[in-house]
Amino acid sequence: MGVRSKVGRTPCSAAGPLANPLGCKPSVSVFISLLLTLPLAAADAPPSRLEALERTVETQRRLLKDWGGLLRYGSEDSELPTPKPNENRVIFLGDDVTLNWSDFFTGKPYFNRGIEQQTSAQMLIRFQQDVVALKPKVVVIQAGFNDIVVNTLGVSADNYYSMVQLAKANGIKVVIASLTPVSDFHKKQTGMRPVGKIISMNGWLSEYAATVGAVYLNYYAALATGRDFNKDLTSDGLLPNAAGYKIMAGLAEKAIAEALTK
Amino acid sequence: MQNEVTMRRLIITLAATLTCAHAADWLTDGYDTKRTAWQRDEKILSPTTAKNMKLLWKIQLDNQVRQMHALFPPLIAGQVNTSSGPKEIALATGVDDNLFAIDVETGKLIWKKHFESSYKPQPGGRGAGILCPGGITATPVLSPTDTPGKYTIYAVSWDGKLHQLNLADGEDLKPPAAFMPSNGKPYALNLYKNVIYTHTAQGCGGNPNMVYAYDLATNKVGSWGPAGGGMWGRTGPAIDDKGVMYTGTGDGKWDPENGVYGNGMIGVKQDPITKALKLVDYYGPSNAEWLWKRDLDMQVTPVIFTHKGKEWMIDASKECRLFMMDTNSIGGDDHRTPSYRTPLICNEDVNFANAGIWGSLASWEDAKGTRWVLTPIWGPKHPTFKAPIENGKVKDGAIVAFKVEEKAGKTVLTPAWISRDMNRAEPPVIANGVIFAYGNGEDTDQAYADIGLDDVAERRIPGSTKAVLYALDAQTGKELWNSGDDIKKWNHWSGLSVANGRVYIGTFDNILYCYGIKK
Repeated sequence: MGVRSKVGRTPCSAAGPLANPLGCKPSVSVFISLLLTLPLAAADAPPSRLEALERTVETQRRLLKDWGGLLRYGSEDSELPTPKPNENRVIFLGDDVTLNWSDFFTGKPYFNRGIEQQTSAQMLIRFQQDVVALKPKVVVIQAGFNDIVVNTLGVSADNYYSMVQLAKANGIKVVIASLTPVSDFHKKQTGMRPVGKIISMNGWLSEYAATVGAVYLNYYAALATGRDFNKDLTSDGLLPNAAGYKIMAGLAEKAIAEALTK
Repeated sequence: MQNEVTMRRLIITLAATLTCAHAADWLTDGYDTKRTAWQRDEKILSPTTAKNMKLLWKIQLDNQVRQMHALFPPLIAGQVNTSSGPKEIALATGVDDNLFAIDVETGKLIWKKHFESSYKPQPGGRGAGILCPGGITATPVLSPTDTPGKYTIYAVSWDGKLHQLNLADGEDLKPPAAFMPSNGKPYALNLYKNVIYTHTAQGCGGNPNMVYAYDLATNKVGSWGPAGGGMWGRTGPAIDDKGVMYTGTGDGKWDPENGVYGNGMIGVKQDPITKALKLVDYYGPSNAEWLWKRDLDMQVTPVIFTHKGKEWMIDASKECRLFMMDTNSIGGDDHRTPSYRTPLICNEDVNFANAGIWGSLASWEDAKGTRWVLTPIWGPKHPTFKAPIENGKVKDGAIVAFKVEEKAGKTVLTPAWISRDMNRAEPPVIANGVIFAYGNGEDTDQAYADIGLDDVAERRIPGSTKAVLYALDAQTGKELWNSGDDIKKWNHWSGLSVANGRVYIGTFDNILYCYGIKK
């Protein structure tokens, strides 16, 4: 029975953006358990269930092999030429919130390096490849939305310290983005991401940005109504919709302009 | 009486010559200088008859395996005049410096030649691992002579000597001549306008990786090196209509400003006066740095063909996409822009050992004038890659076919079909509307979770299984026939050849199999 409860979890690939990272993280023990129990489970599993199990194992296997997500943009990164002398290249490093950005700054030397379900620890792993090596003038770090599900603030803070140090050591200006709001209008979102935790983390991000001379980019204030994600700016209570991204784009432009003057 | 005997012999010889006048050849690895792997003269095998294929014979050859190497693809001469009459001969090459001539009608050995070598591995060179097995590593090349029925074998032995032998009896036609350093690890020889071309890789014996050309008229040797890249296209170099020899440059940095051409393509041509080799063109994929970082070498033997009056070259890498190049300028003005490149076909995992495109490609033109390009892939197909016809789920490898088409004024490669699953699909060959391909059954792992990188034969040989030969409909990729459990062992870096209704494949146990239709 215990076996069935483990393998019966919703597969990560079917869970949608910003699914519970705890359920999708590449825990070695979970992975090994899955492998060991597959024959037992497969013996009486209908094909659709078997396929779901195979997808789960495949997702876990990929995460174990490339936990940091270096394969996602590695090839594209290598194709980017060195910035032109007056180019204000900007890298947006982040998770689903960055990845799903609609109409991402067409015509500007801004590059989206978002990866779904990533935490700040994973972003730190790829900071050299996806940020430093591309020689941007500014990096916009949008992290923490998945951290609050699995990490304490202290753990996330260490990752921020390292990313900011790497950026500064390479002459890259830093913009630190706030966490975006959530709401339960469409489905329950505040269970894994309690509003209090989001507000608390944003408070720390704001203070930390000021401490290290980075620009704090406050998406939260612009997207929230009271403590909830403004219904008009999200379709699922978790990610911004096109209207939400439009507001974020304007704020990001201002933050980038400010960072460039620092 | 003497005149009568002589006349009778003449009549018999003439009759035999006429009978076999249209016998097909397979004189070089990949069939021709452009490495199309397309047998134009097949009359017996077809999509209709392929289902009746059987094992015609197999022969155990007296050859010592070296690392994972055993036999190279056999070459076929359709009609060779021997002391016992005209014969169709398969020339098999064994890695331990051996050549074998086999009568394909009977499956019996005619002669064996072993090249005696005084070479001893030198200290400081790359160790004798899988990548540097020693022995003969280049499939030889055959050439018809001015005398009908007489063929010359050109082969390079472990000690770097070029041998010229008579295919009829294996006897030396000329003394062995110095061609390249010992243990250089050359790849399949290519003969173009009386010049033998090859390239080397893996720095075996401490030798630099070089392109070599032996001018048969003057016995002069030319060489050129890309500095930093080993050229390990398994079917050797391909040569275009202008006599430019192309190869992928394998593992190395792409830095042409400093004369370093790794992970790209080079075009090299012989100077007609000095016989020296000169770089005439080059191309580096826009993500060459990524290929280098992830060990996704540009290492595949390219295929060259003419389509609608224009000559094209296709090449690939372990990254698993095809690059289409105009041989007039393979990388455009910046040497980094091919005419077209496909999306990723496989290797979503970015795996340097178990996935991607390895070996060589193939190309043919059907009766309607459609030009096709074929590639083998290892591992599952990329989830975003689709073809109109897919013949089942691909887990371990497959053959993927493209059509050369014009779209929006641009010549592109359009996916046409994906074959059934094959365990490490190897370079296909084409004959009369049938694709022959095989899964080699080789354990290709090089790195292990508990050990790390450990690419040794002692690990991989026990993990290897058996090869399976397939016949596919060239239009759809549908399976027409397979060899089932006939073949008992796997092979490594070998290949197929086909001529006159027979398909040949050699395996690690030094058995050469011949399949065809029993009379």
